[in-house]
Order: sequence, then C-alpha cells, then structure tokens
Amino acid sequence: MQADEKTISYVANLAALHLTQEEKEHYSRDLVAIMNYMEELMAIDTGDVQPMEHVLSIRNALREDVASNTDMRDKLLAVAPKTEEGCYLVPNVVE
Amino acid sequence: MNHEIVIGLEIHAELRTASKVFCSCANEFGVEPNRRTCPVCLGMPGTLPVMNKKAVSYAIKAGLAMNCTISSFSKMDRKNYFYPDMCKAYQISQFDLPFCRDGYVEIEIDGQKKRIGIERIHLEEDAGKLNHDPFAQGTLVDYNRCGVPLIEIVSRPDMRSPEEAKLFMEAVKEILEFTGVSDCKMQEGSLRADVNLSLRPYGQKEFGTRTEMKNLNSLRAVLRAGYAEAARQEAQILAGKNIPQETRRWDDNKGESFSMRSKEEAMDYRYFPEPDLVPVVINDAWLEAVRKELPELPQARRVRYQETLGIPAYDATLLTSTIQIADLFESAADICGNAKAASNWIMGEILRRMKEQEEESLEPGISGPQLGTIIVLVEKGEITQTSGKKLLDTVIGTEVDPNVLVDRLNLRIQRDEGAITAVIAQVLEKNPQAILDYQAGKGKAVGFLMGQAMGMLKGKGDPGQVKAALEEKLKAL
Amino acid sequence: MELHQMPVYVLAEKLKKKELGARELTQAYLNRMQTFQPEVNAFITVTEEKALAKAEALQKMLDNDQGGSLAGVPMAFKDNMCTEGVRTTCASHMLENFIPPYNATVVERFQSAGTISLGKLNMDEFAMGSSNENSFFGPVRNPWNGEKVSGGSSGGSAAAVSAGLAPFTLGSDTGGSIRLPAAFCGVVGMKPTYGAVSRFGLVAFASSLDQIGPLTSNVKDCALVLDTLMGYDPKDSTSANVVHEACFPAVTQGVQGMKIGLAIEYFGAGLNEEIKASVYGAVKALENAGAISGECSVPATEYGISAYYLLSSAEASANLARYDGIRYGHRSEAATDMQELYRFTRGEGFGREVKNRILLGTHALSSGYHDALYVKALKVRRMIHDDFAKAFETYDILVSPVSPTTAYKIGEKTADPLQMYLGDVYTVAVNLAGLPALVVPCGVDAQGMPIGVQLIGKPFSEKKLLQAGYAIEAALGQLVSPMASQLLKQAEGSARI
Repeated sequence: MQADEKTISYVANLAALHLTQEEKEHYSRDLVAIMNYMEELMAIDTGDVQPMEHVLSIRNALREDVASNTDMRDKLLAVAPKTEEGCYLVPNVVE
Repeated sequence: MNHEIVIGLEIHAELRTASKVFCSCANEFGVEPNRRTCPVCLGMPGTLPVMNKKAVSYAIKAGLAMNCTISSFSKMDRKNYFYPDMCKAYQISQFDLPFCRDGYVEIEIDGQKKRIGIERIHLEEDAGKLNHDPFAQGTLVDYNRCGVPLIEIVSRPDMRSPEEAKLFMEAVKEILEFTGVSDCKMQEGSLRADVNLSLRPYGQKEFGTRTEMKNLNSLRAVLRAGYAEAARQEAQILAGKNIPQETRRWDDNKGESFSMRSKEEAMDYRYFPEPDLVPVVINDAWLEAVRKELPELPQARRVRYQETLGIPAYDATLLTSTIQIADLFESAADICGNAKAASNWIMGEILRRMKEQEEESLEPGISGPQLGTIIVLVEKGEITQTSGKKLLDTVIGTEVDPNVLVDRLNLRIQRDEGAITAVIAQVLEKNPQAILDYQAGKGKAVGFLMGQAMGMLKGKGDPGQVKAALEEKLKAL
Repeated sequence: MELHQMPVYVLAEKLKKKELGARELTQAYLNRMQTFQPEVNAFITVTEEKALAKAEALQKMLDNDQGGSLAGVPMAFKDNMCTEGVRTTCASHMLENFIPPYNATVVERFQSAGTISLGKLNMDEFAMGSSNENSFFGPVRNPWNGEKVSGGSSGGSAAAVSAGLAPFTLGSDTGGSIRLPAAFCGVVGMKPTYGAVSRFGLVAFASSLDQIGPLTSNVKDCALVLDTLMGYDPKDSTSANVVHEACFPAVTQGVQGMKIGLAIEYFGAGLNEEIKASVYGAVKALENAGAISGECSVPATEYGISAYYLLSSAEASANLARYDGIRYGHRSEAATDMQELYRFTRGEGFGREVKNRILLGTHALSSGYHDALYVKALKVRRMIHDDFAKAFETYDILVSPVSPTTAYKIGEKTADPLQMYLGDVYTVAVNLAGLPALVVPCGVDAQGMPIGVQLIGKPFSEKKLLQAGYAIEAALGQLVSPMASQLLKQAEGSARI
C-alpha cells in the first residue's frame, strides 16, 4: 500500500481523527510496514471462496414489536458532557 | 424545454411500528426531546441492536404491494459517516441484499397508464433531529427519532417530468397508507424524497449527469424542485456549461436549490456487513402470512368501483383517499345494496364531518353496518333524509345499532293521515298571508307552508304525502 | 492454605457451609490489593466500599442458606464490561469518567450468581494490544517478574488472578486477549465459542470476533465460572440459543481415546524452543492419560495475522466511531465547530495504538481498497474456518503454543506495532473461525516465566477442552506466581483468620 501522508490524511478525515504532523509521519511509517506485511494476502488464490462475514449459522434473531416506555432521559443526559433543555448540545451545525 | 427530463426518486418512509427498529423504545412523534431514547438507540458503549420483526414484515409488505421480488436471504450493513443526528456514526441499512427488488408502481398520466420501476426497497434506521435554537449556544440534538424504522424505496429513472414524479410519489404514498406500513405524514417528516434529475437531448439513449436533491417533504416541493432543477440544468447546458454531479439542498421558501457537495467530495460510506446482527431468511410461510394481510390496493379498488359498482371516476378517487373510507364504503354498500347511495352519503356527510373535526383523524367514527343501516332506513322510506342525518350524528362515535335508535329517538316517518291533516289545518290557520300568496299564484308559498308542516311533524312526515295533502287542501280552499 | 490460594469451587463450598464469611474473604482480597496492586497495576478501579457492602448483603443471604451458586465469591471484571454506577473506562482517556447507566449481561449473570465485584481490571485501550502496555492507566506488570509485560489485552484479568488479587476474573478475547496474558501470567484462560457468551454491555472492539471468557488459577474453576458465564441472551442477536451442558461436573472425566491433533503450522520457525518442548510435554501428558495424537495441517492459518488485523480493525473503525464527545465520554474543550468537535475529541481521547487501528480499518474499508483488503480478508477467513473444520473431522482437539515467546520486557516491542502483531500468530485464527480455545500453564522457561499450551476445539466443545486441560494440569501441576506465594505481613493480614 501507499501509506503516504495524503492517504493518511484522507483516511484520518474519514475517521474524523485529528492528527499532528508528527503523528501523520509515524502512522505512515507504521502502516507502510503493516501493509507491506499484508501484501502476502495478494498472493493467495482465493478462487471462488465466498467471503465469511460471520462464523455464526444463526438466522432471524428477531424481537416482537413491543414498546416499553421506560423513560431514562435524565439518567442518560447525566452522562453527557453538554446538554441544554433536555437535548444534547453540539456546536452550531451549518448545513 | 429543449431537453428530456429524466427523474428517479428515493423515497424514505417511516414505518408504523409500535417500537423502534433495534430497541423497544416507543416509535412516537411529538414527544418531549429525548424521552424516547435508551442506551441501545443512543448507541452507548457495549449496547447491541436486536431487529424488530414487524419492521421486516412491513418492508416485505411494501415490497409485495409494489410488485417486488422478496429476497429469501437478506442482511444488514453499516453505512459509515459522521453527523451529529446519528448516534453510532454509522447507519444500519442494507447495501447489496435489500429485502425487496425489481418491482413497479403504476401511475396514470394524460389518461395513459405508465409503470415506474422500483429498483429496490431496503430497511434502515432513521436519525435524530437537530434543532437550531437561536438562544442556545449551539445546536440542540433530539434523538427521539433515532432508530425509528425506515424503508427507502428507490425508483428507476423512469419518470420524464416533475409531474410524473409527483404522481409516482402520490401512488407510493397511497400504497403505504393502504397497507398500513406508514402513516406518510409528510408534515411530520415520516415521508420524504430525494429527487435525482438529469437532462438529455430528445432521442438520446444515454443519461445526462444527474444531481440529487435531498429531503423534499411535500408533494408540492417535489414538483417545484423538479421544475426548478430542470430549468437550472437547461440554463447551464444552454450556456455551454457542464452539469457537475452533485448533491443539492432544496430551499422550499426561496424556491431554489444549493450545492451541498460535489461528486469529488462524495461520501466514502465504507459499507460492510453489520456484525451485530445476523442475516434474515424470509421463508414461504412468512411471505404468505404477509401476503394474506395485504389489502386490495387503491388502484384496483378504483377500477372495481367504476366498472362493477358504477361509481364515477372522480367519486372513486375520493372514496379511495384512505383505506378507512374505502373499507367503510365497501361495507356500507354491501349492507344497503346501493353503492351509489353509500358513495353519496360518504362524500356528502361523512367526509364533511371528518373535516370539521377539531382533531385530525383517519377514523370516520362509524362502521359500515351502521352507515349501511341508516341508508336502508332512508331508502326504504322509514325515515326521512333529515332524520337520517340526525341519526348519523347520534351514531358517530358509538357502536349503537341505528335500528334501535330510530325508535328511541322517535324518528320513524309519520304516516297517520289524520295527524297530517290536523297539522295542515293548523298551519293554514296560522298563515293566512301564505294562503293569499298561493292564491295570487306565488309558487313559493307552498314551499313555505311545507316547511311549516314538516317542522310541526318534527321532520318525520313523509314529504310526498304531506305535500300531496297540503296541495289538495289549498286547492279546496 | 491461604484464602487467596483457594480455588473458587472450594471457596463457594466453604461459604455455603459457613466455614468462611463473605466479608472476611472480601477483606482478605482487599488487603492483598493494598500491598500488591501498586506493584502489578492490575486494577483501574477498586470498588472497596461497594464490595464490602455487597459482602454484608450476601452474608445475610448465606446465613439463610440463600444466594446463587457462587454466593460470596469475590471476582473482578475487565474494564470493558459495563457496570451500572461504576466507571467503565476501557483503559481509555476517552471513557476515563464514563459511568454506564446499565449493566453488561455477564455482569447481571454474576450478580445473580452472588459474586462480589472487587473492581474493574486494567487492559489495553479498547482491548487493542497484546502486552497491556496500551493502557491510559499505565501497563500491567507481570506478577512473575515486574519488569515484564502481563500480556494483553486482558492483562489486568490475568495478573489479578496470578497475583492472588481475585479468585477469578473475566476477560475478553478478540484475537488472543484472554489466552496470551493467561499464558504470560501462568493462569488458566478460556475463549469460549463465538456466540456462547452474551456480548451485551461488552464495549465492542471487533463485533464478529469479541468473546468474553474466564481467567482462573485452575481448570476446575474455569469450568465452574464458565457454567455461569455461558447462556443465551435475547439482547445479543449473535448469542447462540443452545442449552449448555454443565462443564464443572464433567471436568475430571478424562481423555481416554481423545484424538489430539498437532498442526504443523503451529510448530514452525519462530517458535521458541523451550515453548515447543513444553507444549510437547503437555501433549505427552495427554497421551499418558489415554489420548491419541497425530499431525495435521491448517495451512490458511498462516495468513491469520493479516486477515485478523484487517477485519478486526475494519470493524473497530466503525465500532469506535461513536466516541464523538456528544452523548458520553471525553469532549474536546478546544473545538469551535462540529468538525473540530469530532476531530479534536477523537484525536485527544484515543491513544496511539487505537488510532493506528482506526486508520488501518478505515483504510481497509475505503473506496478503492475495500475488495482488495477487506473482502480478501473475509475470504481468507473462510479458508481458515474450513481448514479447521477439516482438521476436526479427524481430531477432537488441536494443541498448539499460545505465543512464540514468553513474556517480554516492558517497552521491548512498543516501538514496532508489526512485531507486536506477530506475537498473536497462534491465537488469532481461533477467533476468525469462532472456535473455543483453552490455555493451561504447562511449564516455565529458563528465566522462570510461565509457558502455556493452547487447546482448540470444535464449536461448543468447551467441556472436552476442559477435560483435556484438566488432564494436563493433573500431570504437570498448577503454576503459582511468586507474588501469589507471598503472604501479607501479619499487621496487614490482621483481617485474616
């Protein structure tokens, strides 16, 4: 992989991670080493092997449509860093 | 327009389940902020989603109603992006294996039927709401809507005018309402659409570059945004400019759209299978159970009303405005054996009464048998039209049998000749001027005297009988 | 025998028979913590008051012959399991002050069984790490040698048991995070079959791989704890709705005729010779007890590291996206707009290795790399799964080392993440295939550091693994760390009987 700083910046942006210049440099280094190692995957002939997202054979883990109105708002808001008027407060969102 | 307009729609509809799609919080609109949230829908650390079976059934139902193929094997995926209305920074949605695909919905344009293709219908979770409070030091987030089940209906680019797009949206809305899958309250945001629009020279096969307009929440907005965007694109083309592929936001107040982001900045959603949920297998039994619940759809009903019940097209449309009205009509018509009368009563009396109600409700407040019985009483001449309406007012909101009420309210038509003659005699005695008017050839006088007589009979006289008796008496004077 | 050296099954018995009080037992552990916790740093949070109050309450129940199967037994949770009213940090600055308003299902299960939580255990941040050096609260030190790592990411869970600071603990294992520290600290650790234990309330690292398991000083305890731990949970869609046969009563049933496979890939280059000899010693013990061994091959496991780090990081990149400073956890004070709130909060809140994984995982899922990296890894995952399935057509259990080396020095590998990752070479494939695996101590190296052996089984064959593990333990003996052998001075131990 090309783990150049441009790639790191693109990925960091997708992941909403602020990185310092120094961090960008060492993550580039680390990721290049890791990605080089992972080159081994390219050599494997996976043929028509189906991807395996999950080892489980469980299907249809479903719940019945029953509402339980336990209002936990105050308990939940108490954990939040900033709240106002029963809402979570964030900086102004400009659309 | 020098170009052909090509439109595809993505319609989002909130499902009418009792609880949210992945937790048991109530799916309710208009509750105080964050009173319908829990650790699961807030995506708190360690919490896990569990899928609402009804939501899946509703997605299947919508698919069946729109002639889709239902996938026997589906799964959920994560769509990753950051936005403060979303608690996990990913939306649980469906990427490559939606529940429904390859269907169609029929619209009628200029008297012609046209099929609009449905590419897919998938299930996903709704996001919360951002409230911009001018007095707050920022934006307030309410997550009550977070996790409300949503289906996204993706059409094929089969529409050729904003008018068609609007008709398609209407047709979809009607189907969702009739199937009970969604209440489609556009003003509450439970039905909204993204419009994908492009232009191409007439006769050209390839599509032009499209733009996507997000979150249109009224039929009118779909129409207006469609026309405005077509005009904007054509102006660009005529000015020799390219149309960049981009996402635009429609401002319904200004009647203009604004660029949100270009294709280059397009989101890299990094879809991957949701590892916290397992695949959904829809077997024949499940499919059949949902199929059985499917009501006859409005389009089919309109055709039937016209062709077999002899109802005019316009009336048929009104009668199928909601499933509650359509079902009431069919039941009442069945009981009274007179579809036209049932239609008239519903359009004239029931719909008006519903409109006058303070609180908007889809329920007419009367059952088919109740209405049918009233119609029978009127048609058979047991009670007058006026008494029928009175009876209706009394019956609405109750489960009382109108037959019982007729006698309790003493509404049965007065046919006793002696009584009628006595009333007429009284009326004539009290109104000498009217008699003079009658004799002077003023036809109105009969009507006036009729009214007086009917009033004294408390509306229970048989109008024909009373009129005949009155005229006979007048002539004899 | 000192209280802290007694097995869980003995403690539970004594408590029921009222030969021992819940309060004195709890106090004995808290006393040991005073002395040894600063040395090993196994705990992030010690809930002394809550523990003592709980002990009082449980004693009343025990006095009335009530209480669950483990009534009065102290224990501790890895700090990625949500505990209502007790902070759950995941060893991260991001959740440094996060107090969940709900319990993990496993926490509820153990509360019902009557255990007393002593606190929350140190770990690698968000369970990402193999040495427990990636903790916001500092590394866990190995009770066998304070210079050495405990192994990770459940380092606190292993060290606490090894040091005699808790009779048993719970850890979580995504790619070896129970087994590696168990081997490094000389204790027993089990990663159950994927789906056997509820993940509800376990702060997710990689959802399709994470599994909670016990760490104990001996195999019988492992079985006993597992019997409380395993079970269906409707709150976890990936939880298997199966009836788990009790393991504890079956542990001593022996291994007569059991077929033991040695996968050649697990004994190749890079494996420390002392470890190899020790593992062969464990195999010999099994043979002596009546098991039959043979060679087999699971070739695709060679690619386990690559597949594992891609998949676990990909899932983690999404699982950790929710930490945005809005609803809970750290929030950057420096942010002036929404984008900054995200970027600064996450930049400040996550440690170096966590960011590394998020970047790797985001990259693996991003447009243009998705198929080449993520999907390829999923295919390799199936190959690994199928290789194991094939080996299990012949064998009941596969035996392997846990790690190519014993515990290394703190700081030795921190500069090079890839070297750290390669230490997981024998453990990750088990998670990719969703299999259960048990680690049992089988010796010490020349430096006196413990060596463990890994027993890998078919899905839901925990009982068989425990039987084999017990046979090894019976032949080779339990390991007791120098710290666990160390008794408190009389003054400190005054609460002891």
